[in-house]
Amino acid sequence: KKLLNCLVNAGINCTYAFLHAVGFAMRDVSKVFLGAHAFMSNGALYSRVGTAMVAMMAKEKNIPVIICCETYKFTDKVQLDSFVMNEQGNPNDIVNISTTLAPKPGLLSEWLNKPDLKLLNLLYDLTPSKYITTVITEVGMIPCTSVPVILREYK
Amino acid sequence: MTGPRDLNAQIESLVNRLRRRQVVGSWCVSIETAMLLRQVVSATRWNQVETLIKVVKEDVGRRLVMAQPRELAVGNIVCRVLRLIREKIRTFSFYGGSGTGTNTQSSMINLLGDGSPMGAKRASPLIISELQEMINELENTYVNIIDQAMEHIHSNEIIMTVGKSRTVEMFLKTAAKKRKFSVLVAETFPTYLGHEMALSLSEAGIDTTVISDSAIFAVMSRVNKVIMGTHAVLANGGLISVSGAQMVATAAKHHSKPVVVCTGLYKLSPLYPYDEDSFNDLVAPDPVFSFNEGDLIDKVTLLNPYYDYVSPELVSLFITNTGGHPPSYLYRLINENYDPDDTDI
Repeated sequence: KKLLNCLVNAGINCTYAFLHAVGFAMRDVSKVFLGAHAFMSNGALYSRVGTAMVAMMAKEKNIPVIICCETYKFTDKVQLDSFVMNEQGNPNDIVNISTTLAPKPGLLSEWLNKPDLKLLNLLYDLTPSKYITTVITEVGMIPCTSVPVILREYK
Repeated sequence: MTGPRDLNAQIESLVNRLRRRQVVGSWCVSIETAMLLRQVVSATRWNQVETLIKVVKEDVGRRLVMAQPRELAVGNIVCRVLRLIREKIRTFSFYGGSGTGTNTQSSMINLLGDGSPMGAKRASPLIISELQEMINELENTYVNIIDQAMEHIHSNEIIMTVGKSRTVEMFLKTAAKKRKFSVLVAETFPTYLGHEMALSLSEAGIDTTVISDSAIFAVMSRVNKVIMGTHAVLANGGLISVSGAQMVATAAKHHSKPVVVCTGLYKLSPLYPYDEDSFNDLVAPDPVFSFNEGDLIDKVTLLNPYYDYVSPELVSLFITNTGGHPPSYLYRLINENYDPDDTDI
């Protein structure tokens, strides 16, 4: 929503939708711009959960996916899927079903009392390099497989 | 035998309840439509079969479909009834039941109009008994589907599902009686149907985890198969399903996981999706961006689609009350159950 505020104040025509509408909205899209939390040495993007979904849907429709990322976010680590390293957020955030700032607990408010019910709130996910078209950094536009090359330059 | 006024009242009542969405769920809608059409067939006086077809299709069928055009199950049942009527008349006249005896060799076109009053009286109970069989089949839909549960789920599997589907719920609960497995449910914003599904499954003793929609791709690498329900199945094998289903199916394809759709045959529609969004509805965007947010609302466009179209390449298997079928087999089922003349109701 902060991004939406910025873009609207800059005078850009915006449409806002939630992730479930990505299939519906993707028909009218010509480019996808995403941000990054970190970039792995195998060209995979470690970013806020949901990014991989958007990148995958764009790739499915042959829409270019462009990542904007500074080089200080590049790392030596390699990671293959979203599970081996991730962060769990507060599971009670899933219980809240309100969209405004005031939380409104829904059906799952008793989840702690139910032995078979668990809530999983992942914060990050990994986008494989095959879904990324190009990365825009302060040293230029590079393909995501050149990330270890840039790192080596800095050593 | 109900008088015409009672029949009209029943038709009006169903039309109104459909319009106000008081009949909830495709299964209930199908059963009510089928029972109403059975009443219509038994109450209508007809000599020529065209009269009966006109009554069912135009007088009653069209009104029901117009009352709730998004509920494709209504149109499906009307098409099936029309097909049953035509089939019965065809076999009936062919075997010389019309009483005139000399016309068995006349062309098929003539056979349909060849009813004498005696013929109509004899064909009518046959048609009604066929309709009753169809209603019984509808009522046993769930039983036939859940019988196949054991073949598809084995122990220690992780199954993903999205949205709330009565069929999938019963499917998983049946399998849980003998097998131990886990289920990941996507919360399905903004309807939060996933929450209800998860509660219901965990109450049946199934190990359930609720995840947010954004984490679907992230967890897909650990999932063994995706089982979901659908609102309707279209003629090409595509699905009209809850919003978010396209994401799940595409993610499953990218991870090479099978996507299984549990549905009754009454959801199979003879309509073809020439445009992906011809069956979609955009509903109120309030859950996406509420009025509390202030001035921004005037300056942005908000999208909140209710349904999602899932293309047939993403689906591996349909589990229906007649067994398991690949999407490529659906054209055969449509051929058997619907007549090409009826798709324009």
